[in-house]
Amino acid sequence: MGKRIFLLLAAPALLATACIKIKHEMVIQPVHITVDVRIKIDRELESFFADIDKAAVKTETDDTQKKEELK
Amino acid sequence: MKAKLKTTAALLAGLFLLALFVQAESTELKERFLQRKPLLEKMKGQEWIGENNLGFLVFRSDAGQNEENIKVVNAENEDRKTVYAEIAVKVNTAVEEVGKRRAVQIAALAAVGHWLQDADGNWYQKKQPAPL
Repeated sequence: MGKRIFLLLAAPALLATACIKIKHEMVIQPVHITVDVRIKIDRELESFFADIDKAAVKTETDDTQKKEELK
Repeated sequence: MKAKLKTTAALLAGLFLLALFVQAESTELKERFLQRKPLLEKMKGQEWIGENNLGFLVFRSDAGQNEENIKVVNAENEDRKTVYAEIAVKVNTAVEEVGKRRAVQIAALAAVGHWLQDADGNWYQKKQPAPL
């Protein structure tokens, strides 16, 4: 009798724990996916714009050098 | 057997040509970006245009809005949109998301005094980094 009561009480508790675990996975997965996508986007953007961005830095450096030369 | 080989060869040749075409288009895009760069940098320096939080250029007021400048800014934005769309397909995400990430990169690379829009939509001028 005592065992039956224990089982009846333990079963809902176990089910509740299982539900909480599923919820955790649902929250964590999208964060991982978002970060992963962002990294991929950044990599692709850097790969395409690297030369263009470097050219801009070069121009600014040249301008600074020219200004220094004028001084 | 021969027909199968011919089909495979034709398919490979097609893929090769497609790769060449994509490469050529990418090179042309890069050249156009580089050609526009000096004028756009000048316009940013004049505070006529700024970089919004979606990775595109916008005029900040009526100042500097002549035919040539509008044409250059529109062309730049069109080419940027093409690049963002290509990356979005490659990474399987939204074009807007790619633009937002580019806006972050642009903000990091921007020169002092250039106008930028933060993620909340507020405009600010890039300041000199604090001395160490």
